[in-house]
Amino acid sequence: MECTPRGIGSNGGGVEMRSRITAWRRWVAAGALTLTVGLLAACGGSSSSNDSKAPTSARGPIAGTLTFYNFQPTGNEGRWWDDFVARFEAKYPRTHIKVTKYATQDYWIKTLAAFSSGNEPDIFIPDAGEDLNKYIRAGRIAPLDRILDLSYYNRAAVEPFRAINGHVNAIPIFSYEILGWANEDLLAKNGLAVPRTWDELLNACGKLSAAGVVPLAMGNAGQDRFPTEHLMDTLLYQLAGNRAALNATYGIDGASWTDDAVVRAGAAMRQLIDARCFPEGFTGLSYAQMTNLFAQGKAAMTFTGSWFAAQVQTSRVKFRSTTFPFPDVPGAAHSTANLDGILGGVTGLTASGKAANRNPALVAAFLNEFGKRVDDYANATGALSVAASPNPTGGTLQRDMAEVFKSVGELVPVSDTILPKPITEAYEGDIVSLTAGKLTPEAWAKSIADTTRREQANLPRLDG
Amino acid sequence: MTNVTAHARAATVRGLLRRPRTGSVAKVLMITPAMALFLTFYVAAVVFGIVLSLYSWNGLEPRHYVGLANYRQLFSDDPIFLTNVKITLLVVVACVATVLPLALLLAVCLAGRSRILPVFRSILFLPVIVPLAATALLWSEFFSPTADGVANRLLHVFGIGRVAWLGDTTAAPWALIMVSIWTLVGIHVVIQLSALSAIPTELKEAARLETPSTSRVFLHVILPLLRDSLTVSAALIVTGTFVFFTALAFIMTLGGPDHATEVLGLRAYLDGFDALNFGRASAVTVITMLITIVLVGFTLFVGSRRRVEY
Repeated sequence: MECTPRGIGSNGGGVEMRSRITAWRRWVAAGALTLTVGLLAACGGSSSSNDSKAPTSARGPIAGTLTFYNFQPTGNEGRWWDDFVARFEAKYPRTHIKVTKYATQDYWIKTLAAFSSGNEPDIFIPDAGEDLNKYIRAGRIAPLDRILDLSYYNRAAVEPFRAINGHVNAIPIFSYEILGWANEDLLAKNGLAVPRTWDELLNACGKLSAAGVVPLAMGNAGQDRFPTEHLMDTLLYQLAGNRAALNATYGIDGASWTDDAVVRAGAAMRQLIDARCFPEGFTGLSYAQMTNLFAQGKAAMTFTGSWFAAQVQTSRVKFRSTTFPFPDVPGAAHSTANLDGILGGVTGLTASGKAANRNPALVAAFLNEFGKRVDDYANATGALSVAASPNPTGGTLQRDMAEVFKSVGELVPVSDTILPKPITEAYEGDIVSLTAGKLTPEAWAKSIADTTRREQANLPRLDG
Repeated sequence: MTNVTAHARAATVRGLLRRPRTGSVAKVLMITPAMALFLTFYVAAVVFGIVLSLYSWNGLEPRHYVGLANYRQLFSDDPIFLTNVKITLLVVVACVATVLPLALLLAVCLAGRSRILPVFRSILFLPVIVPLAATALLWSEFFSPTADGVANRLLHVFGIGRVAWLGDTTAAPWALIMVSIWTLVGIHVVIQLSALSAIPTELKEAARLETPSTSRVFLHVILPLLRDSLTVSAALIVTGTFVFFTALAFIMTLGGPDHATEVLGLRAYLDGFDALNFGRASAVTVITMLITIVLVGFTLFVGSRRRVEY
């Protein structure tokens, strides 16, 4: 007699066993499908038509809870914010500020994910430009000018947060400008002064590199592609005007990436490289390595933001340093040397539309309280103050930069804050190729133009 | 006889079916948490990604159905995507071709009983446990393009000029491949050591009786018995490279210079979280998944042929 369990499908019991297995598979598939539908429905955020409605009054009791996403969790900035929140809660005992701290590199993604899921923070810190505009376009930010006191701030610092409809969507908390930095002792040792013209700069590069000194510390490796981007932005401003990259992307006033002014900016960058202004192998240098070259006295100059002052001060550099506006390229239509404009940006503080409409009194109290202490924030952190009447108490560097900010004609926004992300990626990446000699200035301009054409369907509308 | 057999089988099945179900209920309850996690974070996520690849979505505004437009754009109007695929395949092939033989060689060298060997095994395993950020920082300094960089100093000893390393489109991928090999080899040495120790000693002794040649014993007896562990290692290197190299490229080069280290995983991240084009990012992840399935499937197919058992 055979007892081997063959032919399991040949009798009623075996068929029932197989149908149970099939039923399990159906349940698993149904479960997966249900979860997917649920996830698809859940993702995409939830916003009501009231989120972007401007609150008209800040009257009412100052009470309740605000959630605050802070990207400055450590150092002087972290301590200042902790103190600010503690003092605010002490002044308004019926309030609670729930602070969530993120490292800077995680901050943007965490904030985006929060907005995407409908759990956005009540208060957060955006940069002026595309960082904030994407939330405005999605209807998640409400205009705040009716409930805020903007008299605390330098008007030039508020303008980047003014939307196309004229309303202000955030308050500035600090600004930064991109400047040349010079080691005066090292320059003097080589018989040079801080360069004020393009020819003086090229001459200094030649002499310094011949003497084995890095003329201008620069780098664009890894995640730190912004130093060469900032330099290119400056050259573009000089030759093509403010927001040249944005105009070229959207064809504003007939501007295009293949315009002669853009190609000349690329050629000017190549001229600096060919004059050996940058360290050898600079395309492989990170921002930290680049600034260390300057801080260690191995480079006579560098080109970076006003935030560098804090590093200069904490590094206790053993030489006299000063900042200088970048010299103008020959034929420049706009001058950075004479402060027609200077490259820079503004970081702000704002409320989500939900919070602004749910509790306008508390939101206004929190933001206006910052306004009262905006100068104190700058002095405590070494940042460039955006106060209407700044009183810098830091060292010479901070005072010099404050003077520049007061005198400058216009703040030229850094391209990566105003360009749509796909174009920023191409712009930064193609600058790396230009500086590495992989692209000529003409090919560089054409490459960005090609990317702009490909991404036309994905470009956000400008009326943020 | 046939009828008796059929009746006996039916009776057995009926008996099984009549068993109290409490045992089945307990089993279901025990696997439910794991199954729920698996369904949520794996199955649903994969299905969600596939569905999202058919939409245009920036993460904030409502989604729009676009069908296969994302795929069409990648294959027909995006020259960078082909670069991403080429770099990904280069990295995977280079890592498998290097890590596998190197791990085997090191395992053979470390398979003895000497008291000093555990020290070397520990040293080899250290890169596996070093945090990725520390690894990236360490190797960024190693590959510094200045004359002070360790890599350039070594080249100088051999009379070779300075290389920009992470700033050079040719050198950057190979620099990151070197870092990947350094990190991955340790775990695979452990896998191969374990497999080597599982080979019965009698087999090796019998083989040595047949031939005094150690290399012949290794090639014809030991290596065939390691086929399974080598197949597993190869499959793990393929999948591990996808994950590890993406993270490494993100920290050290962000896919640059000029997309030279932009593998598919990083491309998906940049499309999603930088360009806010989650539809296209999902399309890239779907293509990555298919490529991974093909590569792992091929690896397992090659490894399953001519299996040897004693």
